[in-house]
Amino acid sequence: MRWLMSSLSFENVASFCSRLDLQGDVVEVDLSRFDFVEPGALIYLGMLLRSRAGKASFRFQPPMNPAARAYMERESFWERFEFDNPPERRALTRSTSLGEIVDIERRAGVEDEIELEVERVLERHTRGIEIPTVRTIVGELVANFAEHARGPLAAMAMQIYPRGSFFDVAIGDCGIGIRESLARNPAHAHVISEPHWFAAEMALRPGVGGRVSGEGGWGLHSIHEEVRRLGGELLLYTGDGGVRASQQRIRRGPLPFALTGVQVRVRIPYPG
Amino acid sequence: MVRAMPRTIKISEISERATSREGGRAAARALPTVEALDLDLDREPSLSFLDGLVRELRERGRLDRVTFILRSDLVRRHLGRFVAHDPTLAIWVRTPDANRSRVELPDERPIEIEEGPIGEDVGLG
Repeated sequence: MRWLMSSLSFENVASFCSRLDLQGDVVEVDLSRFDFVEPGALIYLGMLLRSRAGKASFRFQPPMNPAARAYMERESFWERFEFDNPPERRALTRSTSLGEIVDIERRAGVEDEIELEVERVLERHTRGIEIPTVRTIVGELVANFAEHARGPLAAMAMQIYPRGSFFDVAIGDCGIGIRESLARNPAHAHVISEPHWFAAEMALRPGVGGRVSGEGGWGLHSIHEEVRRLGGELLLYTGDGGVRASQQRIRRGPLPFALTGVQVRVRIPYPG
Repeated sequence: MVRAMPRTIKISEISERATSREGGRAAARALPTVEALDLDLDREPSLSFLDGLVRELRERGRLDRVTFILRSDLVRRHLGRFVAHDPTLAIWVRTPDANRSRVELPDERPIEIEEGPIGEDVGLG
């Protein structure tokens, strides 16, 4: 039988996860039919693994396609998210040249290091990108995750697609998610009774933030406006809801799978 | 009203790293209390840093005494978004070689919001 859909992307990874049987002690994850895997899908799957660490074991069937399998190995997917051997995973926690998935540790300066690496990668492989703007977008996202991620680390992956003339940056965590985070701010306490997608869209508005002090936030709003200006797209998932924010519109609504935390993918085109 | 001769401070002189909201607040607190100040953003600040900086200056009633010397359009747009949200804010900016003016609103189109499922079906072939 030939599968028609061979790409595991950030767009369809929630649908894929909704078909997993998560009830047993061992969760079977069959990736064998995928010819192509996007970084956003890796981050989402990785966060599923981290969120269920200690509760279940995962048995993966890697992609049969050699290129897709090699990509997952090159990104160090198995080492980053393999929980059978936690000490080894911790030893692998370090900044890299973004040739593989990067853990976002909660420490001062982590956004500076990752920003710089992103800049180097873009300068080497692309032309015509507003690199300072992209650097600021990435740095702000990383800083947000470093600040708000609770429990296990956040992780990030990046991929340039020269044939499509765009690149993806994907970051995710498996913390408390946007709704619970916003509800800590007394001004937004009501959001706790709203759907996750409502909170996700609200987080893009100006002056909205999850600080207990009641202070609003501007970073995510500005990130979205800058991604819009660059002709890109921002996809933001939290719990069982999300938003797709493009140049013209924001679509907000439910996802087919509920994953704790926040996962985001920014896609930005560049002149081909 | 004639503005007093401003004193110029570089952000790199008062802040080792121009990141984080708390860093921006700390930088604002480190600024001298003078009648007029030109704050040279010679080190590209993060958006969160700017949030903290503007918020702290405003809370201390000193925002309109400061002129931000801009090195990037992104910072100009970000400051403009504050004003778009709160038109009572007076944020003054200039480039290194120009006179100061109130920051203009960014040219950003309104956005439509629609509701519906997010993501795509993975498909079963």
